Amino acid sequence: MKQAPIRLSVLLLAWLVALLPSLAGQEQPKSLVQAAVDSYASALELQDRSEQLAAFRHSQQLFQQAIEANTAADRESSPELWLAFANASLQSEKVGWAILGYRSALASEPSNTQAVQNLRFARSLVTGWQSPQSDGEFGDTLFFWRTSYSQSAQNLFAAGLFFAAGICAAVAIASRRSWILWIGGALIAAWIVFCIPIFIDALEERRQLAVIVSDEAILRTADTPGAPERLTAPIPGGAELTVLSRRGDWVEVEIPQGSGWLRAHEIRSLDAPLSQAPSSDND
Amino acid sequence: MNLKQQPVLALLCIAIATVCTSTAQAQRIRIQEGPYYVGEPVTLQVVVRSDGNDISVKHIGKDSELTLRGPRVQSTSSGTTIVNGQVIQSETQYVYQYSIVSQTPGLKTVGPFEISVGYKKTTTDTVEFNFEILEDSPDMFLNVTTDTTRAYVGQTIPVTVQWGYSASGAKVSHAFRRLRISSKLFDEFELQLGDAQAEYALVLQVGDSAAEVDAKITEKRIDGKKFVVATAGFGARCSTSGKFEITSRCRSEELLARGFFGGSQGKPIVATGAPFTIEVLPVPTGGPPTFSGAVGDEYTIATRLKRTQARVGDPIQLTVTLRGKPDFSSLRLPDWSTSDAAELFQFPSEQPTGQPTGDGKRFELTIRAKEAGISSLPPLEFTWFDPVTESFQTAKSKPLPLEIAASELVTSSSVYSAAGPQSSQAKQSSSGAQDLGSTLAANLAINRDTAALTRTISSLPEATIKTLYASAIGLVAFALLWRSRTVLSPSTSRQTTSSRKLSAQLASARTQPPAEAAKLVASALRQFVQSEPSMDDATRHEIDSLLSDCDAIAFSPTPTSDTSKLASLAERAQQIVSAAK
Repeated sequence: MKQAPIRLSVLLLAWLVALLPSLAGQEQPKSLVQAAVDSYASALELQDRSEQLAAFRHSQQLFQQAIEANTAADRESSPELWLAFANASLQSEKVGWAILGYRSALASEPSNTQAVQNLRFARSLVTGWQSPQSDGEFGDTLFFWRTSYSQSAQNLFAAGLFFAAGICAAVAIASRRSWILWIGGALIAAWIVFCIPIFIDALEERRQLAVIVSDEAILRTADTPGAPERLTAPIPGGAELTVLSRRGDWVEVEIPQGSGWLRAHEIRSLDAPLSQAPSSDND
Repeated sequence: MNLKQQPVLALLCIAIATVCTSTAQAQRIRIQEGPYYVGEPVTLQVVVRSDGNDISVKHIGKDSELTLRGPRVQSTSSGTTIVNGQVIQSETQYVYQYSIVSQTPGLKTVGPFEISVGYKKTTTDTVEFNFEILEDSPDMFLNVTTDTTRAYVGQTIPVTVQWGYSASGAKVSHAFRRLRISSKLFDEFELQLGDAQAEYALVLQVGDSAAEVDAKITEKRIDGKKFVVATAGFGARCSTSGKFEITSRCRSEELLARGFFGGSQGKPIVATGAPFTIEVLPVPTGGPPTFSGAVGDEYTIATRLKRTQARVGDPIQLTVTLRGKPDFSSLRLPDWSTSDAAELFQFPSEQPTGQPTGDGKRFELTIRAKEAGISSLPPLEFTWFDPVTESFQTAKSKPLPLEIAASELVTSSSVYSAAGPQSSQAKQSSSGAQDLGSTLAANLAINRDTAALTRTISSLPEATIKTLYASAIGLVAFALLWRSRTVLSPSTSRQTTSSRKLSAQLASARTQPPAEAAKLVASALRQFVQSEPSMDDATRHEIDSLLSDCDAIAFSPTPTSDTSKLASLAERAQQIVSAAK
């Protein structure tokens, strides 16, 4: 009778350990990445701009294949790989892909200064379109860890706080010692504070942000090729938009003047950067 | 006739009549009410009903003096209804609308029309129209003029349309609302009408559709008659070369009487404009390479750079704005790949589409410097053909300051930033690239460490997070369950507490001197006996025996120092208490 809580705790911890996946890195497409790095390096040595562009384009494609291989294996690519892909995209004049890559790198590592700097530069190349402003400075100051740690790390830390609070609560209940319960309460309060930016980020993710990856895209009033143009000028590549709905090969996006439809292959979503929008209805 | 056969015959007649009626209603021809005039379009509609079969309508009549345009097909259908479980599909009505124009007066025949509904074919009757000549009204005039009779392809010439009508205010208003002006000029040239925003607008017939152009209303006296005159001006761009005989005509309606309930009765009136000829010449060949087809006057070119410092190969955003008279919407940038500037800068191979602004057209393009040491973007040239002087003219932009440095950022030794065999050099290069990047706002160095690049972020957090939350909730749930069990059984709780105290008491007895220890053990056993009233006899006897032994040691006149017997007593007492627990 006396040993029961201890036994159950041991069992729970054993279950926890059993569920932890291996931290060891798995076999990666190293050859692809090596080839991409080599192609990038050779491009830098070239004098002819056309040849240089072709080499950068080749490097970008190889980096993209490496990222796709990770995605196919259900692995998240490193921010370094995203950054290399984005730099190769920028060098090959694919501003939209570059912005997509920088934002993906920042999603994994928000404190990556190179990605922040290059994203700002890439956005400056998108003329005739207002880039999204950064989130409120007050919020970033108050929840300072939001811009320093990835969302996964924040989620893990929040879960750790909750677990510690749970242990305190369990011990306090079993031993009927109130001071342990107070510690648990403090941990729960910290968990709530930590969860606020996570909740805000989750709400923003629901907006399905996307980037124009083609050189430019014509926004139409309906999801047919013959529909009138929504704007007097095409939307430049690299423009960042919010996806409202998808229908067939078309994506409805939000613009300051309302909404319009774009071809699905012209746009990529930030939550699935390298996969094209689904062709089935997904409203 | 047999009387018994009469109802059958009557039913047969009704059935035949019904079929005939329905057949008659299935297709019919509707025509516009007369009178009909030469040159004026007359509307004819063939109405066909179908319950889902394929339909085709074909004019099989022949009259070379008639022009038959169309058909324009419209369909209307009501929805499907379900009555008592039966689906009833309603009919669909198709209207084939034709526009008939006769160039000569007299009786003209239109039709017949062959109508196919599914596999069934029927032929309609012919329709006759008596076309009369409609003379120009002496109270209405039309002038369509241009300020030149000679132009070049691509040139935009100003056109003035003037319509006048001499009548009372109500009649003028009635005629103005029904006015349609047609001209060969409208069909052969590209009109630049803009959006009609004024209170009054003239309606131009352009092809099969109508277009509006802002008009200014004035009054004018001609040959002693007072006319209300509407004047509109716009541009017409010549797209093909050739000689064009321009004829113009307008049609309206003269108000005869106004109905009591707001309707009106009128008769058509027409006016013909004076014909004239425009000769459109091709632009002379042999223009400079910077000529991109612009024809006009007073063109200017302005350039703007987004940055003033760059390195070789960097993308540099260049904005080019073209302005000119009278037209800029069709302007294109010249091919600068053979210009002097192209020796220093690489221009895009694809022409940007450009964006019209208020007074010109703006183009955004990306250029790249080919070599270091450039201090400015050379003037860019734009050539157009001036139809007045009949010569090519060239405008130049101002040179723009732009410093081009060597492409230090884009050399292989400076782009690697990770540790590796050349880590020290790489780190140095990386910091250099970073500084340069902060100046130029981009750091294009990449990490060449394959291990760092292929490092993946495993799906650890998601599984771990779920486990941590579930474990915390499970722990609390277990603690609550455990506590509730102890709370629900007070006697068990008391017993457990008592047993725990007795065990502690017995354990402490081992450290006491034999006499004190014996008293403690005896005290613990007596408390145990009180807390366990339903004790079996064997245990009771054993406890009594232990108590007597303890009392013997505790109250012995000669204190003993032998602790072995007391230890065995305490051990035995502990076993009894534990067994009861």
